[in-house]
Amino acid sequence: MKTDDLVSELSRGVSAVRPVRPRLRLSAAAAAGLVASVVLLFLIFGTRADFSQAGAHIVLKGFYGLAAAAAATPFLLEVSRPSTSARHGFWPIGVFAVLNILIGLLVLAATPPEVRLHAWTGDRFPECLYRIPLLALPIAVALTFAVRGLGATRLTLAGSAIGGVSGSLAAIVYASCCPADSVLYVLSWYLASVLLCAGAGAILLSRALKW
Amino acid sequence: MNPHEPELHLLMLKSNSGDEAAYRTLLQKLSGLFRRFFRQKLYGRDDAAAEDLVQETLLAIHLNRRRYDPGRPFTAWVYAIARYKLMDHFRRKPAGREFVPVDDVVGLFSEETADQTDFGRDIEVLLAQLPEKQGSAIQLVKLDHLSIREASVKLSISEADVKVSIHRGLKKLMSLVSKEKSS
Repeated sequence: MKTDDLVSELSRGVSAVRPVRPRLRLSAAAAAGLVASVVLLFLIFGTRADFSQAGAHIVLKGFYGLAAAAAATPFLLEVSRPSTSARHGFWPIGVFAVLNILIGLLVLAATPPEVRLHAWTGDRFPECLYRIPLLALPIAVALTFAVRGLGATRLTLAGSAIGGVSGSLAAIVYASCCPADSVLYVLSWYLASVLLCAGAGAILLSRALKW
Repeated sequence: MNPHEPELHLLMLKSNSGDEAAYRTLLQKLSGLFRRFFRQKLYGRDDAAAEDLVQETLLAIHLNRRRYDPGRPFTAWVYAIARYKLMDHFRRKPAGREFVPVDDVVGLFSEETADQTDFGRDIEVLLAQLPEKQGSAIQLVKLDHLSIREASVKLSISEADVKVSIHRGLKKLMSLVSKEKSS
């Protein structure tokens, strides 16, 4: 078929289209995923034993997840569509990472050396490393379906953005069952969990995003 | 800003509000730009493949047109899709792979190649691979130039069904084209 013929065929009787609204689409998916994630939390882990007394800690940790999600969202909005300027959506993530490291170092310096290890690990294996990715799963699935309809052209970046955003949102959910409350713990292990999600997204989701 | 941006952006806005003439002009201009771009990226060694890529990219733009956000640069959007199709081509045919910078929007809009050689595939062969309803809907409306109404009478299905069949058929066609190229 000649290209000119294709042009005539495609343009023949073309109708007005109602533009897709990526923000709405992605928020709806994220909301649906969050609900599923909360259900998953109650089914598998439950909330922490002293849930009613730990309100302030839970809210603060929730804010960490919220901030991470807010930082990753512009990047997701950029790379979920045909995009040539992924850099432009990346700076909030950079700011977040720098702040995370800076505050982490400051708190580390302010912590007496003999309690540093305790503050850092909470004296046990950091379970958020697998719990946050698990809770991120339903969010990532929902976001992947939403992004599939938007025509991403940089699939690895889009996959990592989905992973990062869903990991951040999952951190909000996870905050209500996480027993470790130290700032050092959150700044290192929550960050590691979200990065883990982003890495897994980059590897696993790029295939699912192909069109 | 890309020098083509104001003109193409305006054409795209008109197209998406249903202006057939504007859409035709837009696709014609784009096919010239794509042809030049793909031939250059394939070092002029495979003009047939370049022409296939032109068509695939036009089809991709057509199928994705409602996903274009009017508030963002149209040239960048188009370049991202053309590059995606090119990378896809290299994935299927790794020989001759080369580096394609992500922000080389200018490369797509450098200079048009005016004349065009037809290396097209036979559309009938592809249509035969579609489900019968989709194939005949595309055949009647897009190739025989019947109206949607006439086609719906001829196929004794509803007008909405004709439209949906064409849409799905075009999508299927696109995946057939890419499958054929990878095999």
